[in-house]
Amino acid sequence: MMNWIYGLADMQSFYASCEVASRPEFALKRREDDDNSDPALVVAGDPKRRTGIILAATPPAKHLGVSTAMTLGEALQLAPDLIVVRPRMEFYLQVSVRIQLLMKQLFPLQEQFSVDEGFFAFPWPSDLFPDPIQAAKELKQAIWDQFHIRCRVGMSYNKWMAKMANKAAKTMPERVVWWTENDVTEKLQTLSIFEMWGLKKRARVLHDEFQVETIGDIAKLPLSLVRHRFGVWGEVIHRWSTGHDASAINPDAYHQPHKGLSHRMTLPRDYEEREEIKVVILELLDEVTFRVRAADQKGRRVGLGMTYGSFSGGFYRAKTLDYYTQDTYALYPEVLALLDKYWNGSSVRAIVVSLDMLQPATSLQLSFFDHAPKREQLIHTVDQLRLRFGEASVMRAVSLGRAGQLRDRSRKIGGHYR
Amino acid sequence: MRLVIKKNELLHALQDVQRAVPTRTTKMILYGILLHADYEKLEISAYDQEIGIKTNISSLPDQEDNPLQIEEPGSIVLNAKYVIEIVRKLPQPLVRIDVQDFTAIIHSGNATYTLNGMDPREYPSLPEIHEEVGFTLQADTLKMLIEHTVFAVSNSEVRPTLTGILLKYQEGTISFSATDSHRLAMQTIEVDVPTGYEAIEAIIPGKSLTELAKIIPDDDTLVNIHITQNQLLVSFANTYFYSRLIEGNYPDISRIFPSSFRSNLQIDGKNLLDCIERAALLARDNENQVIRIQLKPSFIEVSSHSPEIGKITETVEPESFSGEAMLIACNAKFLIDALRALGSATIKIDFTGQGSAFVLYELNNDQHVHLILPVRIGNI
Repeated sequence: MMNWIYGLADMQSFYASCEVASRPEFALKRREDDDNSDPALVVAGDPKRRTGIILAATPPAKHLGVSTAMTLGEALQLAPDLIVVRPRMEFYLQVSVRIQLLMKQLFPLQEQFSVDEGFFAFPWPSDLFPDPIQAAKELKQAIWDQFHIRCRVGMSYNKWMAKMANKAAKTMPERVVWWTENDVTEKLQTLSIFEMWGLKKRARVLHDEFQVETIGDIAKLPLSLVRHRFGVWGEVIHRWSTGHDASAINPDAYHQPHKGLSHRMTLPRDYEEREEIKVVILELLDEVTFRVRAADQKGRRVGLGMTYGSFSGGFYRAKTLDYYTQDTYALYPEVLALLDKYWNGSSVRAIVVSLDMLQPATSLQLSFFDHAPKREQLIHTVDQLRLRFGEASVMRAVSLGRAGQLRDRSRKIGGHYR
Repeated sequence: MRLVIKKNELLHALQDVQRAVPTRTTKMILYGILLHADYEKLEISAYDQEIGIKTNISSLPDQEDNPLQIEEPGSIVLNAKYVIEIVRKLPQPLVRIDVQDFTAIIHSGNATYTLNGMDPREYPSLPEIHEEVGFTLQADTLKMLIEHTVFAVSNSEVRPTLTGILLKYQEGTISFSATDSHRLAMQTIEVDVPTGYEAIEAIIPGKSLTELAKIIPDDDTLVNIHITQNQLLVSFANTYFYSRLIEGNYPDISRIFPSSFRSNLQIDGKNLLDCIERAALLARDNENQVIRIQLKPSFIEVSSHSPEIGKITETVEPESFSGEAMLIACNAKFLIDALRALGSATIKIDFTGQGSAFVLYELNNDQHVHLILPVRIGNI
């Protein structure tokens, strides 16, 4: 019977590696087999401010005690000579896309898992991949040759085991690990539950309430007990602890039609005035409808959510319309009605706008009072301008005011500068 | 307040008035119904500050089957949901209500309820409307005006005026019009009663009229209609119905009626409705519920498809057809709503083209009209 081997490739300190690899002064010294050939470099949220957060650090920086998510100030105290660079998110995303493409070329199945991780799969045994370890090494080499980025590869007979094997590869000299069914007892089940991927806070609960130390201890607990404590998740966790996982590779994960879209923004300061909140709502709604149009869809449930100042309370409410639309003008009054109905007047820290119940856009309902085809053409033209010349090339006048976030946001990806 | 009342009279009044009790509100008092008795009558009312309904039950001591005996005047506000459930289930045809402060004791047979009420002084008072000017219609005529149009009002915040029905009185006619900017329904009637108004236009919330249609009788009871700057009052028998009017200008709908046609069709309304309803089954999930109507001189082909489910094609024969063959795509729901309102007689449909409105009406009756704008699909 033919089985599949699943693999997970994980790029080492991805953002920091991109920086090292793209700067000739560091790249020329960089070696695949020696982490210490890198400079002690960090990518920090805002290098000018000591409160900026470390987004990524090279292995030598980590040896000095620097870790991700600490503030720049803390890091500089540990290592005053640290090289600090600001993030270039757009560049990292471009590299990420190209690495995923490379993996697609090498293996029959591939699925992006995150910006710096990708799953792949190949049949086993097969003539094309006679030696799985060799196949993984070739992938590593190909990524190094093209991008000068190191990665580690975990392989096993399902995705979850591959993820765990990938973790184990961290300490292997070749950074390649292949686990089979025979490795479950000795290699998986001996690991601490705090090493178990996907548990989050449940690891602490398992440890404190059930005296669980290792993954193997979970497998020894009665299934009913775990299910009773964690619901459906309990069942999944229990299956994982014996090395079982039924999820398949989905090569089209990033190309499925959307079911719903939303945009959320944390504001630079608390907003108090309805007039200011309105501006941000309009900007978020424009972004949502832009993406819905780009996917050639229309939606009919529009939602508004708010987080109040100092992140204390808030609401999320939605309204279902009688018709599907992708037009900001049709949705904006509805969102404002939600604002007026549910906002209690508190200062606002974060806002989210959503559109779901999406459908493919196939027809256009004409209107007595608007020239619908002309309106559609106008929106399309603005979309084209923004695609070609950037988000901030055409914007509403209100976005130029004090409340507007669009100009600043258009220079950022994931909250960091491009 | 101390009184004895017939259970059925009380229950009917409470049920009518309940339509003005909001389902969700932040003001607790609005969940209540106000009962107010003087020596002549019991007034039962509810007002959510959008719609208000008041019903009077008179005490007629001289009559043999007097519905109400008032021993002591007074008032109280009682939670609508509970008081209605309680009265409905009371065991005897007579109910005694004794109110002390804000507590009501309800006796019927051997059952005694003690209900905590609310302070009647906190209940909002109904708008004051001078009733000197107004016009009168039969209840069933008013109901027909509402039912032929109200489904076409908009439910969207984009144009708030379109969430109402436009009532227009001029030169001996009254018309009700409603549109959501994609279809329009209009019903006109002739009135020969003298009125106090020269000409009048008012936008009445669709929701109010839907509730009104549920409480007016289905007969020739006379209904008085009064319109002020921002309020509507409809009174009939012992009931008063108030509604806020929508402010703003209704768009000019006279210019959207097409004046020349390229094709027209006469067809049995029932046959066409059945056919459209069958086609609509597969249009339900698509974005504009699109069905296609292929008009040909000898027959009409109605079709719709859903990429995942399948497709349907059906032909119907018209009673007569003249003009050009054409393909029209439109929202099935709009067509079904219009055909249901028009009923089963022979109807006439005038088409102007793929990109402009078509008009439906009863043969030889242009007082009841529906306009529907097509949907543009692909390249047509």
